[in-house]
Amino acid sequence: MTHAQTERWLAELQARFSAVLRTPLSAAGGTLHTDLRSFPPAAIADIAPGPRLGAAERLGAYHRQYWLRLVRVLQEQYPLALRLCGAWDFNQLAIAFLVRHPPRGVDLGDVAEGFSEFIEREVELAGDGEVLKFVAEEPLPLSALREAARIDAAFRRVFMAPAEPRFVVSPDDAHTLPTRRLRLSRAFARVDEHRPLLELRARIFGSPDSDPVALPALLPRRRSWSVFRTARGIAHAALGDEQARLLELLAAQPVGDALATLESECEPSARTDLPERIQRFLARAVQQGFFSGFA
Amino acid sequence: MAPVVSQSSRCSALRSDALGLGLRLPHYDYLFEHSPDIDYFEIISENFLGNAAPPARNLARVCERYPVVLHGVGLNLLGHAPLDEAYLDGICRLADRVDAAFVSDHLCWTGAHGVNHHDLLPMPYTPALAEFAAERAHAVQRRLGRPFGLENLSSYVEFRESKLTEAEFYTGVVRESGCYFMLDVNNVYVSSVNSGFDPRAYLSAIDFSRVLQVHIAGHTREPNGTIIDTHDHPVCDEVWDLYAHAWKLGGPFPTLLEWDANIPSMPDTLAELARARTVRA
Repeated sequence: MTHAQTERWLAELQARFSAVLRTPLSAAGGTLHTDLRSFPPAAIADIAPGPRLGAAERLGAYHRQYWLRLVRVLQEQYPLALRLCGAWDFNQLAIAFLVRHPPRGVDLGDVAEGFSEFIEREVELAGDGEVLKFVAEEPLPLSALREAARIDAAFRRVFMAPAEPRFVVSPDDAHTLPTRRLRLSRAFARVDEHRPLLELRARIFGSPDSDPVALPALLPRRRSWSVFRTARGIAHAALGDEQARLLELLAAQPVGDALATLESECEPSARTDLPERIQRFLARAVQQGFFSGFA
Repeated sequence: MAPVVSQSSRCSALRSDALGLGLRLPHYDYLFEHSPDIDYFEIISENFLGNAAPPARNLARVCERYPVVLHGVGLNLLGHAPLDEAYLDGICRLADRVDAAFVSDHLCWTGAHGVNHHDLLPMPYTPALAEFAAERAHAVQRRLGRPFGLENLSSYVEFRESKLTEAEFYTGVVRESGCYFMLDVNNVYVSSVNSGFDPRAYLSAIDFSRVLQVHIAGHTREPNGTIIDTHDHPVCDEVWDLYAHAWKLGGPFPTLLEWDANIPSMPDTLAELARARTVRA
């Protein structure tokens, strides 16, 4: 056999084996399980019966391990979404994601890449357009699931961000600062919530439980948080409305324009000490690594 | 194929009877606080190929104190597609960064047609595939410029097309490639139970002068009797017996304990690793 022939043979055989692995777990009967009848017959025909088990049963071990491994990564990286959905619904959501977006990179952790966007854009809705179709008992509003997934994704993104040099504003920079744009660090994220989900996440993080938790009630108004990396791990801190708005403006405009816009939006009565408030906040933001330099 | 790395470079940074541990996240706090007495660590290469800062920072701290060797799970040596050059570049850079005494990966495939299955998957054992694998492994070792060990697979199936036993395939690939054995004793046991072969006969086929390292680990038995290589339990007595037999056949060799799920505290993990010394005495 030439190498080209070997490669062709491998490609065909591995396509058949892959088809077995990627057959979704069955949810029939109220448990997620391997349904041997769903395996392609051609793949089963490749396998010899073992001392105790038939060919399809032997393949079933790979099938179960495949789904267990990948779903576990999503569970670990989306703890908030997991606990709000409960394992039964979350796992089906994870399987639906993995069927549409099979892993391509070598890092197992990257399996979860795009899960939040999937929930944002591809999750189908039930008839009333409000409730995730996977949720069987206590309906979880899709908006809450999406917000939870965005928060989990932000923590994941901040953790995975590369090291960046600490941003220092030199005296020379100070002259040109108003005309320049700041670059937000990849180890920083701003997240918004309409329910106290970050507090819930902090409470459940690291817990081995996967039972569903009650969805917290809506807050009187939206809250914003900074999520950032420290030497000890990932931290989060509340952002006032003004601070959240400034970060939003700084992401899109030069510093001078952002400050002018913020001032114009500020109530006249709060304008007097605005520069001092902003200076204090920006000093803290630089110290906590929200920025990585000039854009 | 002639070896591209001289025998004398075998485990240059490790004692021949060294006891090592797979580096895992839950142990970091203890490790950095207590600096326990461990001869070396093995890292999963793919966990450190990305540019995320925390893994790189932690690895740098480990390297200050311990020798580190690389163990990959993503080479896809038996995949139908050409080897991933960018991936290999990353492995070379990582091996240089930690000054790895050796690098290892598995004699298996891990993905096909652009999809990575993140599993160590079996193939039919044929002479043509052995030749194909040996050429690729030889090229990998040359590229690395350091000893490259091939790990035997834990397998749950056999293929009708197989013409060789697993031991014949494994030893043939190592011999023809000029690479080394990264012999996993637990995998020998797992496959022997699942496929019904004699694990001691398997070990007798190994040329221990070319063993870079031996892995030990725990496993799980499914209700249908299949043993799955889960690395989530202590090493079972049967695997300890097999390890002692391997030591008698070809020791000393560096020994590494893998524990990937339900990971106990570092002191408990080290106690399990220390059993290796008792078992082989």
